[in-house]
Amino acid sequence: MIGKQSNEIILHVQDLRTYFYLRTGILKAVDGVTIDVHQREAVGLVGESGCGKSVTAFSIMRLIQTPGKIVEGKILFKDKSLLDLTPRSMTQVRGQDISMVFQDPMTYLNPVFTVGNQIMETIQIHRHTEKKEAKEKTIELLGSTGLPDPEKVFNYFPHQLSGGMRQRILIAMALSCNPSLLIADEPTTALDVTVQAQILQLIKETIQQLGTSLLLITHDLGIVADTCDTVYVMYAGKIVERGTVWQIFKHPLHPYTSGLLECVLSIDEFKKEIKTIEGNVPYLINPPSGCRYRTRCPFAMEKCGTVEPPLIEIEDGHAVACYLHEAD
Amino acid sequence: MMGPKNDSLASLNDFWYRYKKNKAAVMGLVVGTALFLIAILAPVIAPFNPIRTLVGPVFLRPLTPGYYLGTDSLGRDVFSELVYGTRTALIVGIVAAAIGAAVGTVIGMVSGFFGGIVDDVLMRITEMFVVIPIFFIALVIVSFIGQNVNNVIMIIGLLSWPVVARLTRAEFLSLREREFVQAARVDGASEVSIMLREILPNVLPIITVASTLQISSAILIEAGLSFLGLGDSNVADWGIMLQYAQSFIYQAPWLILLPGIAITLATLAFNEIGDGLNDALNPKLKER
Amino acid sequence: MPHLLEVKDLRKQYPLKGSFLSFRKGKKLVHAVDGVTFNLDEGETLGLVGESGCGKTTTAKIILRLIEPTSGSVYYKGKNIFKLKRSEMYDYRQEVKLIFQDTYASLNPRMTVGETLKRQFTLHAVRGKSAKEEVLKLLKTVGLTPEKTFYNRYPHELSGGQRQRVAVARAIGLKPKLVLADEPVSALDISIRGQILKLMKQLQHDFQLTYIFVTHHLGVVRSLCDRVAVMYLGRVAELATVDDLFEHPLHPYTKDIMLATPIPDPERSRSRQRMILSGEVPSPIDLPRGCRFSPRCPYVQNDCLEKEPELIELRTGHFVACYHPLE
Repeated sequence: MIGKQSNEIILHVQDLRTYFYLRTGILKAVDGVTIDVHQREAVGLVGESGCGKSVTAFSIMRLIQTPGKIVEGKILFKDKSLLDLTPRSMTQVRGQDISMVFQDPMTYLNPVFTVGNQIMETIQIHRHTEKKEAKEKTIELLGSTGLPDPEKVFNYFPHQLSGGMRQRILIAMALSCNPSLLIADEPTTALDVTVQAQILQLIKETIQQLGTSLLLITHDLGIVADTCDTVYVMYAGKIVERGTVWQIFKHPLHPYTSGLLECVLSIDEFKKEIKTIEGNVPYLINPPSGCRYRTRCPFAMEKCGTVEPPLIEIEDGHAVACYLHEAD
Repeated sequence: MMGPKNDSLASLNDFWYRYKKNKAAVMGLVVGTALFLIAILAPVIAPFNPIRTLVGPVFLRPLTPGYYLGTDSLGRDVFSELVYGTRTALIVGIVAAAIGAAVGTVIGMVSGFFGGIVDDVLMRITEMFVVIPIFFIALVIVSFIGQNVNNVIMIIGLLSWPVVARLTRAEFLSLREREFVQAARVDGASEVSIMLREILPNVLPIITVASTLQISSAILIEAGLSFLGLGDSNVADWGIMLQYAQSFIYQAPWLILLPGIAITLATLAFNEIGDGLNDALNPKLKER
Repeated sequence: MPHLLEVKDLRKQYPLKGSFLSFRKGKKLVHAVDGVTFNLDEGETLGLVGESGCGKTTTAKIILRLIEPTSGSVYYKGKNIFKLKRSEMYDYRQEVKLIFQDTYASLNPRMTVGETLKRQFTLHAVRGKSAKEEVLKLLKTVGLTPEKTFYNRYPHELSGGQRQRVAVARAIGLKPKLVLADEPVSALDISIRGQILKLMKQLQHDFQLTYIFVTHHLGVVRSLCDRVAVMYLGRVAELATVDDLFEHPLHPYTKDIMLATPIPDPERSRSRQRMILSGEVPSPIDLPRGCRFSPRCPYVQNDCLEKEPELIELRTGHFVACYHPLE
């Protein structure tokens, strides 16, 4: 377990809708998503490509640009509405209260400045510290991420470091101002599996230490099983299931969740028959009516094509959006 | 995710859609088409033989009835000269650029794809051509084999191929170890086949854009050569018009202004077309 | 029965840029492949596993004759592939194929799917109309229907799963004998992976193919391969049947990557013993003197630092390059 969560909700996303206005139509990337992150909780937002999980993260950070737009919904961070903040205030929130780590560190690190410089800059901006103090803090941070010889690394440029080291630095930067929430968007997808294990360990330890909450966005069910307390499963812009990591993996309710779990090839068991989910994710410009999964669902009923099934809580903390599990 | 497109005509529409976005490029296309039409319809549009002297009084002002843009120091009709001059400019510009493109592509292609000694030798030769000053070469060639349009075309062609050669070479160098090239090897394709059928089609858009820009440059050089008296004196030509107009700047400013505007318009037009082609053929930002 | 493929002490070194300007002794070299040896029998599926920099893709490309090795040999059906006559090379290109890792980069952006797939047919003397027919049949076989529509599509108009099918089609079009697949499903969504893997399994059955799966994804290897070779920094660290490797790993590195691979089940995942190694995979330039895994190995001892261990058959069919294997 990562951290004992208290009941206090620090991030409340309600009915978020983010649409992209394209030449060919309106792409409804996120279409009614509700997520809660509690203090010290590790939440996993799981789904395949095109499901809208990254767009959700960028929407929370208000980093969506045209042709994208948040058309509806509430985003409350510690009871403060993020959508009502001025751009300037939002900049203050980013990096200080909510931090984000991305998949490819190379695109988010400036290649012409040393890494030490870049971390120092973040600290100076958000904490208004003197240069000397910022430098000391930076070296301390670099050391805490497990990088050997932090003083030397301070003067390195991003391209001189390996992918794993860059990701550590990005994490160091993200956590440098002690944010309450860390959003990690596929933080280890581009890394080797042994490095991935190290980075995940680093994230787990650090957030444990600092009491940070985690919103982990990934398609990898393995790292979710290992790292998260709560899981939200996303499909075609919607949350189809939510529950604790045990509920989701041990008794998944939504056909997509169970279908996905059957597809995964694990190293600890041999699967004679390879399972798959036939078909493809629907185009989010004109999604199918009713339940968006029905085109691929082996249990689809007539009802599924009419109205979208709402997300209903079936047992304590475990909710699903599927007519197979109608609450009594 | 976007739905897949269903017809190949869609790519033509896409091309035009992207081209259209560049307003200047559209203007360039309009002007270029106009010039083209003027050149073709010259015998119909022009009232007089452009190089015939004394078709009217000398130094007639523009807008004199019968002589739309006036006459020059020897009584030639300025309008007719401009109209026929369009032919010279376009023919020289396009043919020279085409020669330059053809030669440059072949040299760049072989150089970039095969590398090694071949590359070294070809690049040294290319550099030689870059270093030599145009007008000097033109003078030398012209003094040996005479002044006519064909020679002018050849001279300009010789000067424009290095640009295309370098560009083509750079592209071939960059593409030759790409995975689709390796995949073609696995298919069993020969090296030459790979060079021509796999890589070249990918480089053509870039060569096209570069060549279009070379047309501008060729028109300008051609005018310059004629201005210096190195061109063909038997054809109507904007450069020659400038040459004759030099001494009469104060008496007859239109004699300099009008060919000057023509040259500028033509050069700009092809520049903008090249720019528009670049946007249309090499979209940098993928649309979501 | 002779092996279909024999790889013997394969090595590939790349000089570091700038090193040919210095004539001093000890030029810097990147040892991409540093002594790889294994055999492959007809009908087998061999997994070639390792992390980035281990040399698995380079090994695959050498086998495909896309890269010249620095030393070592590869024998296909008993013949040295680097000494083939022109007509033998023609056959080799028909019988040995590669499914490239980057399905987008391995397709010419200016050619339609049909034009790309037709190439190998025309190059192997199937001309004109019948080449097109063969391609349409091929598209149907890999599930890209309606065939005529996909025939005319460009690579950028395809989804990842569709491109992967094109890559598979390209590899099996001429009914090869040996297909190397470089990360065939790693870039795909989990629900789509099964579609491609099932297809590949079916094709293996229908055409009696032999596969080499090059991947870093151990889960895929567990369910699809017969034998596995684990590579580290250009050498084979362990080679065994799938069951032997996963149930009784002998090399510490094998154990490490197995423990580092997440398991999609919180109970099984969190109850595992943790062995998180420190340090990164070092660069294949300055290799340590002894065993190349020694800087990171938790069980390192003195003899490990002296000389590189050879790959020896510790148990029947189970090879390991380690002085102190785990069992």
